[in-house]
Amino acid sequence: MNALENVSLEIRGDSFVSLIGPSGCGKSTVLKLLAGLSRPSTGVIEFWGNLIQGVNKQIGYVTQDHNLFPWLTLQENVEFPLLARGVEREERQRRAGELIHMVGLFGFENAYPNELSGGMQKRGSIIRTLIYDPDVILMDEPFGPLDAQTRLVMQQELLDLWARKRKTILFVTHDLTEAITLSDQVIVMTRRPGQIKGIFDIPLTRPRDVFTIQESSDFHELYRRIWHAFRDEIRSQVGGTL
Amino acid sequence: MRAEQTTMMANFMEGLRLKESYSIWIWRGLVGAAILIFWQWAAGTLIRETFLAKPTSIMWRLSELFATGEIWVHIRVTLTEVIIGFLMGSVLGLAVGLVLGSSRFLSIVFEPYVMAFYGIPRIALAPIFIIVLGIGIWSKVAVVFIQVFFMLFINAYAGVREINQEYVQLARIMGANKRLILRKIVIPSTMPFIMLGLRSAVPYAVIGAVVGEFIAASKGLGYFINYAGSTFDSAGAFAGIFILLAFIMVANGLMQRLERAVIRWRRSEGMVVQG
Repeated sequence: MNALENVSLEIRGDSFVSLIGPSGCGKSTVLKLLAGLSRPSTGVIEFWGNLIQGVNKQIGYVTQDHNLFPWLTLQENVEFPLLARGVEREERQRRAGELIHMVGLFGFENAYPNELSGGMQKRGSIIRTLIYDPDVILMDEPFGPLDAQTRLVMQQELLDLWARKRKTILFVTHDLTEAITLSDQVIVMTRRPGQIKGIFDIPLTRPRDVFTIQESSDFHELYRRIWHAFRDEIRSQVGGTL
Repeated sequence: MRAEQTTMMANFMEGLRLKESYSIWIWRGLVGAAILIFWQWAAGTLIRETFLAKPTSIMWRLSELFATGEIWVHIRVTLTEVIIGFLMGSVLGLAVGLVLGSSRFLSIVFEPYVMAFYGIPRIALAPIFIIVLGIGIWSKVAVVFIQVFFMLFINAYAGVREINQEYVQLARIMGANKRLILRKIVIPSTMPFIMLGLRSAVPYAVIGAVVGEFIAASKGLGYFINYAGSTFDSAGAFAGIFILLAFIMVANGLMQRLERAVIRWRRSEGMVVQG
């Protein structure tokens, strides 16, 4: 069975878009295809009008696991993309230091990833992506493995970071609250084979506060509308083959 | 597979090391003393001294061997064989393991041959090496080589196969070329396996040299032990065994130091800060 069928996305530059759908609907596959890590069985993937062949180096990719390299210190991890791109040592150190400061990891430069908490690891993996300034950042349930509180903190930090360094972000999640809180647009996918069920604009004002946004009636109204579309997709899985 | 066994063994030893404390050392000392005292008593009463020398006479024999300098030539020969064989075996085993592990095609093609070769007890090749290379040091170097080669080969091979592919994919997205991936992902990620291979290869290397010398040699600790045994010199044979033991322990200690220096990032595992 195909994972995806007729998925065509058009994303405004510098906007924050979430992709949401029942588990196994192929949300992550969309990201893998865009990153050039998977190939479509039929059809083509275009990114900015160019066919994707091989790995897509124009994007940043933040995975569910932090995937910092365990044998490199935080500083070395954050510098890695610049090292790969042949940036001079001083420049690498300066830019990594700046970002490490920005997310409050100052003092942990020489720590190895397993000496950091889950939230710190996540910050590290996000700034490792920001450091080379990709135009589009793909995030695959990045906050999935975190506990509920850390998750809220990280959502707020991501919003703050995004406000400072405007990027196009395509964010995959199965958490509708998270999707609405963060995004300009929420795209709901159907169950397998994944298709786009609906695209919802999120006109909530920015800057947003993740700790209070859920209290507003606008949020509730949006949640109700999107949930309506999302619910049917999840419900149809009940008693299914999963 | 033996690589897994050695990993389990290493974990087991790691667990033991954690429990080490002051009182444990006292207990260990007591057990050691009890064994020695029992041995001292048993030799000459339960077992004839020609078969089992008393610890005290082994000590005498050892000091005598070092005092006259008689033993040095044997130590030197065995050390030379072990060191040359170890260096060659580890470098080549590592290289072949990394190459075969990284290439799907090569690993599939070679797999049955590797397994077949892995299945035969490599020590049984010693007589053949002696036929081919003579009774000098090179036949023993070859036995050591084949032992170490396989230890390193199998560990490096397993290590490369274990690499988290997400690391490699992310590194490529971040712009890394093949060389940088080899240097910063493949090698460091395989390092714990390589170090484990090096450490487990030490006793195998010594066994290889000694068995080779048992079969045919005119110098070396294996020759010395074999000769002492065949002349009913139990104290001499045990003296030789103690020297081998000391050698293996020193080599193990050095390997552990090397391991700790090379994989610093692993040491800190488990200490987590909150934030």
